[in-house]
Amino acid sequence: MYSTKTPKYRIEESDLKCKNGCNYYGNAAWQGYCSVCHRLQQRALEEERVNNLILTHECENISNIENEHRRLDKSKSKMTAFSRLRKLPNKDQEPKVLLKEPNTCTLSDFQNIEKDSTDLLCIINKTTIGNDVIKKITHFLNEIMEYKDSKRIEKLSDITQTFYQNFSKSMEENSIYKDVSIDIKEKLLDYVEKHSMTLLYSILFCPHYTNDEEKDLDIQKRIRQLNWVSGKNLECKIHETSVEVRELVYTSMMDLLNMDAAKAPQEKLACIIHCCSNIFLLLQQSVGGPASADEFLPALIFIVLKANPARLKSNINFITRFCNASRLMTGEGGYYFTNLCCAISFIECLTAESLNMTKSDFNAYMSGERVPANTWESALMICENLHLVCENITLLQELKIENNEILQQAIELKEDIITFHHRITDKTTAAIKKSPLIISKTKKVQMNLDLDNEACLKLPTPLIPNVNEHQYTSQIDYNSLTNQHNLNPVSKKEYSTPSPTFDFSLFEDNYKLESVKGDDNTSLISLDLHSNSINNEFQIPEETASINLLDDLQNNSENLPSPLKPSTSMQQDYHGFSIQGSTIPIIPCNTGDLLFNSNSEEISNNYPNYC
Amino acid sequence: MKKREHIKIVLLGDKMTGKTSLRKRYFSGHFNETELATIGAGFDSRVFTLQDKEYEMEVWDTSGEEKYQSICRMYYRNAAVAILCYDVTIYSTFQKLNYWIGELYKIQESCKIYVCATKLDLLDQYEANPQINFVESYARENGVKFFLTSSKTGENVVSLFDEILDDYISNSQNTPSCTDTIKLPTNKRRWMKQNKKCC
Repeated sequence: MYSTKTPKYRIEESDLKCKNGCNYYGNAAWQGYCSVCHRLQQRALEEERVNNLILTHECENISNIENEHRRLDKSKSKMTAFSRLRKLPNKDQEPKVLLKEPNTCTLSDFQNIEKDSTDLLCIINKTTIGNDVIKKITHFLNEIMEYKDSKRIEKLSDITQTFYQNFSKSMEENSIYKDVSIDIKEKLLDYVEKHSMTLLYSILFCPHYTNDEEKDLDIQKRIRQLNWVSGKNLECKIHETSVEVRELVYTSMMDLLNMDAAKAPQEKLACIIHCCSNIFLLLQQSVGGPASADEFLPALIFIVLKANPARLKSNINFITRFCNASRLMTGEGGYYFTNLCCAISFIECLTAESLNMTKSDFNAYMSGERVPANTWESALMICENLHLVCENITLLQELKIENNEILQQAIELKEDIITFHHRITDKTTAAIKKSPLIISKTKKVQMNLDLDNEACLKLPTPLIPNVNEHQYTSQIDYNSLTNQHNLNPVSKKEYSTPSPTFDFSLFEDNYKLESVKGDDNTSLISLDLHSNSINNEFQIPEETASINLLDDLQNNSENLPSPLKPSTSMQQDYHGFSIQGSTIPIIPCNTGDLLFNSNSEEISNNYPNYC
Repeated sequence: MKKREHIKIVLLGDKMTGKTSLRKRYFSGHFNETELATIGAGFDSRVFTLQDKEYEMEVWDTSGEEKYQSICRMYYRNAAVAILCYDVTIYSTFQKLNYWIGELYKIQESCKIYVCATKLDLLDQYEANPQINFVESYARENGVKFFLTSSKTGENVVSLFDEILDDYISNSQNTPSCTDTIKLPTNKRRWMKQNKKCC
């Protein structure tokens, strides 16, 4: 077939050779050079490009700073918080330094990773697994360092992806991982990815030999051109006037902006997941029910347009290249990442039709000739103040609630005080009622005390003291005398009972006198008749004799009160000497006096108590 | 136990054909209604353990809006299964199926396709458009399975997903899961020759 066709141009063999004139064949894919010459050419071009980049970099940075400033002026307090999170693009692009010391700039992040996964490290540390993991990571790092100068990001990406695959494969197949649970394996894979990617971040993120940076600037410019696009244009159902929804809009924007600050690809992915779940939350509040994908995509586009995240393309590319591919294919992260990619590609090829407007309108808006009334910026201006007012109102409400609480508590405290007062008064009155304070004589109390003592019961009734005072003796005398006369016959009878020691009839008068005198001796004898030693009884006659003598001397019996009446109990207790004799202890005669004296002294001391 | 295997199912179809309802019907049938409301709405997943292996079925919801169709290709990358939904009473939604099938064959050939006629409960009041017989023959022609479902009544919803799972498992058992070993040339000479050629 080819042979029949007459070629229009005759191709000479020399045409197929390398443009450089070396004897090798050239190739159209290498711009007509042979592979060696093409590579040399490429290297020269690359170097030129790098030089240009470094030269123009300063200017770019300045323009970027200007852009940032412009945006700072435009956006209000909330937005400034966001901007602070943004890093100026490629501020630290001094390639040679970075390549030499990849570790220095990421040291703090690196430490954070180590801190985050201490549990895991504890498990694997100093085991065969730990050694294996370290060995694999170092091998991988060396490989990357080896290829980093090849300036082909796809190659580095391939190395990384193969490393992930091999690592997970070896975990499944290698015998040293046999006992490790799936959970730990996942964590280990995660750790390896995080660890190596954080270390290599400065090398792999937005490398100067790719056009990531240009794309970043393109999309940034594009988004800035589209800042007039409102939720209405996108037909997204964000309820912009609601405070909660607006808060969520801000948080999701924050999450998206945070993506640039995160280092490891899965951390960036986590930011996207956060952002998207917040969007779903705000859609739920706006729509009033679970949102679907039809509502989600426009909302995500809206958020991306309004947030305008720094280095968006670089971040997306970094994730696609160096995040574990299986993570991007499946799961929530994969779904949201796909959505974000869709949103970005929608923004990139946004046309008038996709916003349901005429081309002329679209062009007018894009060129900035016309500014729609309902732009987010102008709305933000109003909303920001509104937002401030809302915040203050909520603050005031909180203060009011707090104040009310304090007042309530004060009232409660007051009530407490009153009830406490009532309770105390009630209690005291009840206590007083229950046990009133009666000042009783100590006498009574002591009498009671005696009752407790059984020994006291056996004692004879105490003597009733007859207070003899000379002033009124005459009156008492008469009574006592009559009493005495009345008593006499009885007592005579009593006394006439056989008694070996006492013959009261004999000493009747003397006895009276003796008692009148208030001398305790005799009365004591009568009290202790049965308890005291029998020796006393023998001494009585002598004593009475002496008393008699005293009586004779004084001889004023008329003034004396009536003699002591011998109590009946005493009479009963007294069973006569013969009966008691058996129980009477034998007491030596010489001690008798002492005993008696001591007794009498004791009793005389105790005696006032009985008064 | 081996690593969990993911089954990515992507829901495609024109807008208002009930993709989200179908997904919600299936997942809320097994979960609490209130619990579902807190789950991210575009994505659902369920884990099955069958024959000592874990399968995670994930369903990716997509937007049916026409203006997003061109960018939706990203969604069905690596999808194992695609469910194409059309409204049983609206002919235009059925016509869309051609587009989706073409797209899938172009981008993700290995993807298994299920055609799903939704809103079956509407057939009490309206005529099926196109006729069910026609769709059945259409499905047979294209070598895809056809289901009639109603998310409102729950009819056929579970059986659709069960069939998908069964097909997937039997399919993955027949074909070895990974054949990514590279055969190096055994002839050493040839190997050396190749090396020489390379400059």
